[in-house]
Amino acid sequence: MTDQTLELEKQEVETTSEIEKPRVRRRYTPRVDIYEVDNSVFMTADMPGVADEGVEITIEKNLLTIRGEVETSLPEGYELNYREYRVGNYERSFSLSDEIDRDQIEATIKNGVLRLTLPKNEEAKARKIEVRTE
Amino acid sequence: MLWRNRYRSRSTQWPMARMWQGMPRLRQDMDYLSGGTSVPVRANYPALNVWSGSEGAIVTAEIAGVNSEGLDISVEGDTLTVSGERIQELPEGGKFQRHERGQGEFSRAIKLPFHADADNVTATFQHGILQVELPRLPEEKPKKIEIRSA
Repeated sequence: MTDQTLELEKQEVETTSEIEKPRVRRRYTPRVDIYEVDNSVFMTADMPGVADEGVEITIEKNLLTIRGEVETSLPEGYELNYREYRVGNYERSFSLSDEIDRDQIEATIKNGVLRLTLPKNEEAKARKIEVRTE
Repeated sequence: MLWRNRYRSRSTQWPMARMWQGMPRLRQDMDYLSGGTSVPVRANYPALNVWSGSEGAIVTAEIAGVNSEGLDISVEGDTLTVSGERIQELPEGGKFQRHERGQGEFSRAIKLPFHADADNVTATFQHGILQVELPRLPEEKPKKIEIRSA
């Protein structure tokens, strides 16, 4: 029987680089929902195991990167019998549209879900033109 | 009409789990049978890890986005069942640009290598990680056998 890996909630980031990394830690791409309501864009990412302190959000030019560092506490005196998932940090990047007001971006994390609020800036909001029927 | 996706996974016994893993295509097709606009939770959600020791077992799962009140954990004999629901969060008038996170009810049952002392099972849920500690029944704890010299 071929060894089929379970379809995981998170996708492991392939490390093809030969550069020696100081810390060897698995990295995963978290699943993300992006939706738009009124004049804001919202992003929710599943990052179980990440607390407030572990979240890092950076914006460089037009690239928004969300990172989550996981704190692991392996049970002492126990042996891993059966494993369906591995633990690792999270990372994912998105290209940010010009419509978003970078200074107004907010983020919270609760129960392992990172929520970003990305409001559109004034010019983007004003672009909506009402079509009136005569 | 609201589509609800119910996936009751069969008990995951040690050898059976591997056989079920060999059918990802079948599971994927089952996942999408219901149609609808939301992404259903996949059939084997959440993924579980099982640790065991002489005192008992610890089962961990990554279940982001559920409140601890929304989680239901039950133990019967040597079977642990974890179920709950990931609620649809899209507000009125909202539109998805990307939708990868599953929603809907989930339930997983796993067989432990021993009968658990159900009265003393404890569970913690923090940052989306569920950790269930299941002590062995006192009768089932490994006993040290003294070798008496004849």
